[in-house]
Amino acid sequence: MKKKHLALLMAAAMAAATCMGAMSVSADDTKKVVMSFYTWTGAPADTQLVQDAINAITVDKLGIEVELQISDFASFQQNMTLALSGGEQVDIMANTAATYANFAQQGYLTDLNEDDLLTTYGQGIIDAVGEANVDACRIGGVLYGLPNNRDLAQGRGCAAIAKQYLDGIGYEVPEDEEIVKITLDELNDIYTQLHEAYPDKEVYRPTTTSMGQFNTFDQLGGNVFGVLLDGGAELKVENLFTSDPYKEYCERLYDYNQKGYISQDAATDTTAVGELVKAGTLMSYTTGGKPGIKAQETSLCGQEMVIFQTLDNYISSTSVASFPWTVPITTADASAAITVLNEFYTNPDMANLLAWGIEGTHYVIGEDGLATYPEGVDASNSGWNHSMGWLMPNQFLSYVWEGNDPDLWDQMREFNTSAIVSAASGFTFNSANVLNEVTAVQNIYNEYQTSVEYGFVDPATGIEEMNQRMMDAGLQNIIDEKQAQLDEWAAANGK
Amino acid sequence: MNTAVKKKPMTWKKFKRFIPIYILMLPGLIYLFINNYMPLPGLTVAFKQYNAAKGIYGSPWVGFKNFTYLFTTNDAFVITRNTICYNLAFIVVNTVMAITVAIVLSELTGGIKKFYQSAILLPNLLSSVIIGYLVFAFFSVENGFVNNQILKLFGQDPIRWYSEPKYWPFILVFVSAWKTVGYNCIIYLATLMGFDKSYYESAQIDGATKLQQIRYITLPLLRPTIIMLTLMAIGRIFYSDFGLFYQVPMNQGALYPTTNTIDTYVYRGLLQLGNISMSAAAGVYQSIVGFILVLSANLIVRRIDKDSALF
Repeated sequence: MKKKHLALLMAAAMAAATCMGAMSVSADDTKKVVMSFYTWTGAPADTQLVQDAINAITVDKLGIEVELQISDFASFQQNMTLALSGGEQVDIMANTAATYANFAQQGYLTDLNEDDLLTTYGQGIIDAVGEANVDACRIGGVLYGLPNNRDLAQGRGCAAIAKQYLDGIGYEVPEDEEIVKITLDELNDIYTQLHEAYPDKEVYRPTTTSMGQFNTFDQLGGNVFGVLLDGGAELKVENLFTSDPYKEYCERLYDYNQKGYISQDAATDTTAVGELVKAGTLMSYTTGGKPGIKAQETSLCGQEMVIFQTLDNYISSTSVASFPWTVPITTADASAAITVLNEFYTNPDMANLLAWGIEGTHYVIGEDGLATYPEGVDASNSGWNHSMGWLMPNQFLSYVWEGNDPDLWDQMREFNTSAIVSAASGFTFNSANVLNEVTAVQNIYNEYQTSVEYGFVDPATGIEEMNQRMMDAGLQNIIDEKQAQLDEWAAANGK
Repeated sequence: MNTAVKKKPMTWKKFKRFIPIYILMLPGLIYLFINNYMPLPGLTVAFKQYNAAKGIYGSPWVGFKNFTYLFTTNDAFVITRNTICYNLAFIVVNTVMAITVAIVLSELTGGIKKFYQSAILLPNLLSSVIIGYLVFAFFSVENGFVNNQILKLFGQDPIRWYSEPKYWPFILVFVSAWKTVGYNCIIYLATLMGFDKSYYESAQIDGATKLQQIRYITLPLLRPTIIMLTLMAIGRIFYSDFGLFYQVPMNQGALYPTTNTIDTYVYRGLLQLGNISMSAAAGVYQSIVGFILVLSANLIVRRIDKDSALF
């Protein structure tokens, strides 16, 4: 008797659990595609308006409704991990090189060649970005993501400085150059003068991406554990943390810190640098150079920014596959996802909606054919002003913003073809064999990165300590594995 | 009830009599079953190379491979040490503080007592994110109260609190006490209020001082409550207050050596590195070591005082 009742109880519990599971599955007839991407500050105020405008096109033309799901960059990976591991519907997802490798490795992404998905529904995508770039996104031969059209090269060693402060120290900004080429010593000299003239303001604020942007090593596979130095001139994987460029970089930041250029709260404060410049507490930060960068950063900071460059333009091995668009396995309908993506890659109206918002509300087209803010709207009050054009599927289809050259996209193509290219371009690293080491070393890097790379500890002792612990945790194994895969890739591709 | 009745097998008649009690128990059992027992098969993830496309049951087995990263570095040691040492410190400090505050409060009367009681309880109701920023207001390097007011007063150089792990054990123990004492002291206060006043009256007649009354009447009477609350705390010794260890140090990498506990480690592992199998491995490690700890704590208590043991 007792058993029977216990069984009944168990059954009731099971039924309750099943109900809860069933509730999360909704029965909806209209095809809906959830599109996830990130901006620096999260969903813009007018996300709903833009989404409605996108749907006005896609519902009639494709019979598909699009829902935009926008996170801020800092929490994007966490949000996506949570959504995907929880089985939530996400059909189209933006990435960084790190999330792309990670999600692909864990099996969260759909193979786009499966059932000829891409060739059936996304021929326009292949035409827009080119077969070679599509192939550069393959991981271990499998295509999990699609490259976007943007600046593939990156001007390394760039600093954005607000013009009002440069005027304050009497620095003459060359009028006709979008990016001012200077040496590192000249940049340091500007910082010295800025600090003297504005001792209460923060001169420079490093971020976690600054170190990579201010060097020309090739981060193989999206992490800094084993890199190609000198822009990947040779296919020889080396330890970044014992290299001279890394040491020099950390010494420079340590020097900045000693001189009081960097806020003592820099590691704790996670406010975006653009917001700090807007707020008037910060004067300069690191960025990646490209045609149009001046207008982009000016719009981001709400005031004129001047871009200085100290290193070369460079295309790394991971560059093409830095921000792939993917279809997660939690998609409701992969063919619908590719169909919508195809529209974003080929339809200028869709590209403009994503990049600039709604014409008349968020931008207007001037007589010169360039986009600009409508009357009474500016960077601070626009409901759709994310400066993320480079993340969008096909930036080359959208309007050029005022302040740029009207033939910006042609300049961009030129920029992409004239830059220094890493010898390992097209190589992707599969971390499956050294996952334990990568996790352990990444934990150590997290612990030291802000102290060492923001110049809060003396590099003479800090780097050595970090490197020693990483070596103990298996850094050498990762380097060896990268070298082995690189050699194999080189042999297969005749390099 | 005598023991002879207890040993008799349960009859239907007897069972029927208890049905209302079983129904009362039902919601708790269902909750326990769904929350604590149904996810148990998920433990196998720790021994697999998780692949989302294949699911938990389809992913290939890899044995103990997911555990190796814990032990190639000293991570396992650091997070275990932090979790246990902090919890021990919290048990001692918070108990002593709570009892002291409860005794002091019991001596007060009227409106002022209500005021103190509410004021002490308030931090317990704050979210840990807010507490994190309150702490930041004190310890911010450039604008913090401690660096700008207190250290300046003594002519000391500012300290970079958020990159010096050595200060955090003290800060965290202090914050934990500040946050939890109000709540714990309510339990002691309620017990105190129930003591027979005649003990104190006769002690006063015999000329006992306030301290002697506390030493020889209050503390001995409080003993069972103290033991029970402490044992319950020991049962949770392998779980850390996530908000305290993640939000209050602002997730600063440089502070990991003294602020990383098992819970924050698993959280970072899962959400930042995105590796379910390795996070699960850390979770399994937590469960097993925690299980052993609770068993041995109970064993020691049983040796000393059999009636006080949990089981």
